Amino acid sequence: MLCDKCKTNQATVHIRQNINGKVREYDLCDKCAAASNILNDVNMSFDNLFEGFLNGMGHGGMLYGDGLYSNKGTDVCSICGSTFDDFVNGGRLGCPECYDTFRDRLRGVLKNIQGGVRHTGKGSPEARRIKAQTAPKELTEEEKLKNELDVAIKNEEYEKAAELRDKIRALKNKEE
Amino acid sequence: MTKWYEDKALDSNVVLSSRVRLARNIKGYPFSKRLTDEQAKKIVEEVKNSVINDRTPIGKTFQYIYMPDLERNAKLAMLENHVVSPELIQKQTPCAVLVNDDNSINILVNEEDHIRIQAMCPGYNIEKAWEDADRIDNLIGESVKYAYDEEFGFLTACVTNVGTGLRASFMLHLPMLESNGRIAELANSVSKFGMTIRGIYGEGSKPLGAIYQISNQVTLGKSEKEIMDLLKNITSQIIDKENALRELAIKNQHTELEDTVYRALGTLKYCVKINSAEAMSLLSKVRLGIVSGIIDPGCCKSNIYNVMMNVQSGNLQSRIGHSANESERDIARAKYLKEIFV
Repeated sequence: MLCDKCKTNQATVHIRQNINGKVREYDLCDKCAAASNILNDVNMSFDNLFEGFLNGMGHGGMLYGDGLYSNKGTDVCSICGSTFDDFVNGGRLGCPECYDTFRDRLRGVLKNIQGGVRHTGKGSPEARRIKAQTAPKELTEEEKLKNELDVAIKNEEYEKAAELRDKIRALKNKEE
Repeated sequence: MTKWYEDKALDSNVVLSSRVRLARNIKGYPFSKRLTDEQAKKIVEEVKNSVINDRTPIGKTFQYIYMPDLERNAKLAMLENHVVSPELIQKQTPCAVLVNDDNSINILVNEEDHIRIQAMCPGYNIEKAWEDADRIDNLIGESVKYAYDEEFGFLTACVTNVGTGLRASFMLHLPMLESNGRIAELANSVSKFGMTIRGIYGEGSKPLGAIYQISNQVTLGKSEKEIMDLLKNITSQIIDKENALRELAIKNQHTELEDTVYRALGTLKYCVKINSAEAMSLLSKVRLGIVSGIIDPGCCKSNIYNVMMNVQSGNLQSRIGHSANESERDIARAKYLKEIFV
């Protein structure tokens, strides 16, 4: 079989593209497949599929399914200037702030394509840092014994207190 | 240093390798597509400095590669070795990759997202891949301010990655499920669990050598652990099915199986020119022979998966040191195979 693009070399790569059920097949030679065009084609197949899902080309598209335009909200991101239409047409958001700008409508999209709408995984580095700082510190063996000693003295358990005092001494000697 | 994909353990069973990818973006910049060259360069520097610096010992194991500096074949070889993505080798704008000494961890800068951390390891060991990626994520997070939202988690250019930004996957060799025509059915079933199964080089690529990649699709609403546990559960069932079919073939069609495997080995050893599709198909049969105990793993100097990567055009041309036309490549491929099979 000859390559669909150059029509001269033997076809060695077979590409099957499925956009909303419309199937296109290509047979290409190594050379034409290695040329970036085919990689573009491959990427395009995904973009189009996702785009089709967003703008309602397929069954139950987002525009009709969940009524993306029914929620009130700004249509332009004040940070990067991209619109919600840009997202619907291109499948990609412009900047991290877009998530805030289009929050309500994105919830509708995410509800359909994700497992949930709220992140339950790993926290931000800042959150983890704060947690590490505020988390109760693990007490050392000596600190634990000293606490027990305080309690024993308060409760007038002098025998126990003496025992604890010896333990603390032994621990200190060991360290030295 | 031996690369992770040169490990002989890759020939041991259905699962070739485990991979974890984390997508991250930096606060205060638009996503990659809308970056100016100046902003893109700044991001490259910021990420590079967060990993390679005097404070972090791990940084010393990383090599920094500025992608626009590379030749096309070198880029193609990196793609075939799963170091970079098709998207990154096409980029004209400032982008880079940081890769550690055994190639098991790499960080792509300015691909679809500003930062993509990938960790890979041989065999069924997603935990190890996760630990590696998580450690690098924490390291970068120390000096880089991530775009993060309390509700949506880690923010990504595409909403299909938002939340954990995690794509966990196993590379599987499924020759028996494939030859029994069960892949379409399998793909359909795994999709019901928010997973996807596709060819060796990801989205839209043709399955080559019966190698398939299974990965999670859902990134939001589940924790990293939940995502990986589900992936492991589904994958272990696929492994069982592949093994059951293989056992059946060993029991009932032993002679036929032996014949297929030895014919494949014979062709790979003695051919004078061979194209990549045929080589992949034969290598798949030889690997089936190895995991079935029909032929000795010593028949090949490397693991079969590594040979599969090395017979791809880019790696082949990197090996011979210059660009070659299709016919020259087919001859070079056969020559390489003759050397690798003993």
